[in-house]
Amino acid sequence: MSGESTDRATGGLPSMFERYKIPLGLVVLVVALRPLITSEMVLGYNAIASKMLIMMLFVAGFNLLFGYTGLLSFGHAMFLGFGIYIPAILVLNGAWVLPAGGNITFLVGVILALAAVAVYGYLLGTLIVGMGEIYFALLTLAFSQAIYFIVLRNPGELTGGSNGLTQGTLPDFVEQTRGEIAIEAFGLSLDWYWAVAVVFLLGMLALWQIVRSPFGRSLVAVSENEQLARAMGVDTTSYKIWSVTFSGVFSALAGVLLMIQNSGAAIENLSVFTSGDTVLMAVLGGVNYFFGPVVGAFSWLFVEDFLTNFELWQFPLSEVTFVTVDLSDILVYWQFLLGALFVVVVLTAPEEGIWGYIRSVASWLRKRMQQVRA
Amino acid sequence: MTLLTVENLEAGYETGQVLFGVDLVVEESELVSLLGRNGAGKTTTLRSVAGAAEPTVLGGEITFGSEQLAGVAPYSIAQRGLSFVPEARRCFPRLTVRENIRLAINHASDPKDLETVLDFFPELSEMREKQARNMSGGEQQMLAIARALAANPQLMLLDEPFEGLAPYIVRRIEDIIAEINDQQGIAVLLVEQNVAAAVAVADRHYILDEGRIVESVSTTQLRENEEMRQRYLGV
Repeated sequence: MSGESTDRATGGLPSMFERYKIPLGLVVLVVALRPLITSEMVLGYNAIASKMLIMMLFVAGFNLLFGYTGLLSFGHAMFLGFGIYIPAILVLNGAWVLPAGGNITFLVGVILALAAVAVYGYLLGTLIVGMGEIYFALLTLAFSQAIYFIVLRNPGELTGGSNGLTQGTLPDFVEQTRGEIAIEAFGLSLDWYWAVAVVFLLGMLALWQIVRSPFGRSLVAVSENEQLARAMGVDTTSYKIWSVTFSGVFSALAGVLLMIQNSGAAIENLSVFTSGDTVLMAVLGGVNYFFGPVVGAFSWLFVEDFLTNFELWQFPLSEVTFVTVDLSDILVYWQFLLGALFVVVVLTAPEEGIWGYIRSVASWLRKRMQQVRA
Repeated sequence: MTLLTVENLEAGYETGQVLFGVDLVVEESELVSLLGRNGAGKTTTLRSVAGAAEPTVLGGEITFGSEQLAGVAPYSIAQRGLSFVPEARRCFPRLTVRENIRLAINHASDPKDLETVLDFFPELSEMREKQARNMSGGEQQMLAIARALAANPQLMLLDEPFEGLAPYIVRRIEDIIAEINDQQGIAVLLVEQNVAAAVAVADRHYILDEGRIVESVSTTQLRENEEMRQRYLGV
């Protein structure tokens, strides 16, 4: 809308910062994440950083539907699956005039995947958004399971069934050397993390634009009070359908990245566990905030990897150790610990999540600072 | 000219029928109140006109301008120039003042612009980036009316606009409603328990009892007829 920019109070650096804090935050995240997370003291390997960005994008796509529209999808893995399988199948087999393995084939596969998921999302939305919240959750679960079992059946030897697709799914511009992935294009070599970072940033900025646009504000209205939104002239059904569609497209985009990250398609990514984890990550981070899913996916993957790799607690540092505690007996129950964290978050602040906590602590500190100064 | 005609309206919920043939008329630019005891069917009447999901309309006709409203989707009713301000949960808590109003502007067929609306509500103009959930009840009611005004409707339906508000805010909302009606020429149909406030703003009053309109009176008639007030309104 034309008036959108003139509505805001203008002037000064602080207001510019206030206005663009989300893009700034995303850039800071992308730049800081890998050095922080992959240092020896923390997780110590590279692939986790790009995996985190991919899952953040996926969960953020999911949260467009859940946090912003109020529709809980229990089968979001199916949207991820479009992005994983369609390009992989096309690159592996080629199609019509497209040769197998080519870069063009891959790009066509990506476009086809996003177009297919958009059409599928729109049709699915049309079919099920009117059924009410509980049936929406159950039907997304049902459709997702149906797709899972079709892929498991390995129709036409295309999907690889329970083995997934492990060979020949990557386009030529993806180079693999000793587990590290790089993108080779136009004589340049780009580290995989930065390639993911670029797609992540573009995807998240697009999501941010959607969320703050009149369309996105209408979605929030639908999620908060559907009857009132309708009474104000919002065609709530149509908004919900478009939300399913967009959410599916962003999730499929994350799926494309995940296919390259894993050098293939794994059926686990389509399973009900993936869908469930998505919901948990979003809730853990805080569904009411743009950064909620980012924080949720980060915390989840961090805890998962950190706790499973962390056996000896050496205090204060491994070089100068005073106390050593063997934690491996406790940490085999890492899922229980993660579950406990989740329960604490949900019981104390269901829609706020970890990001909500961080925000309230920050605002409390800011108030204290002002009081001290005054 | 007649703006809204409700004829022989019957409506109810799963638990039973509430309205048994309501007839009422709102003329263009008129300010009309619908009074009655708790459970008389005031809110049900208003919600039926607005096309809300509940109650279910069982019979009768609702004509707005020259169009029948029965079976028309509520969002489409709103786009035809009828703004409904419900009783509870009137605002979108996570949206700011500006976003709440802008939402109405974006979904109306012939809206006012944001600044025109805010000029009308200096209080809101000063807190345009505040989220509705951080506002007082009176401010939220003001925002709900501002949002309804932004759609530039021909008719505004207000469900208990004075409920739960401090007396001085009640007076401020009375002024706002009167101004909207006077200056903007927008017809208002309001439902109210607070008879004093309704009498202060409305020109004409319908009294609803057990799902039927039992009286249609002017403000003077209502003031003078204590027996009527006692019998139907308990005041």
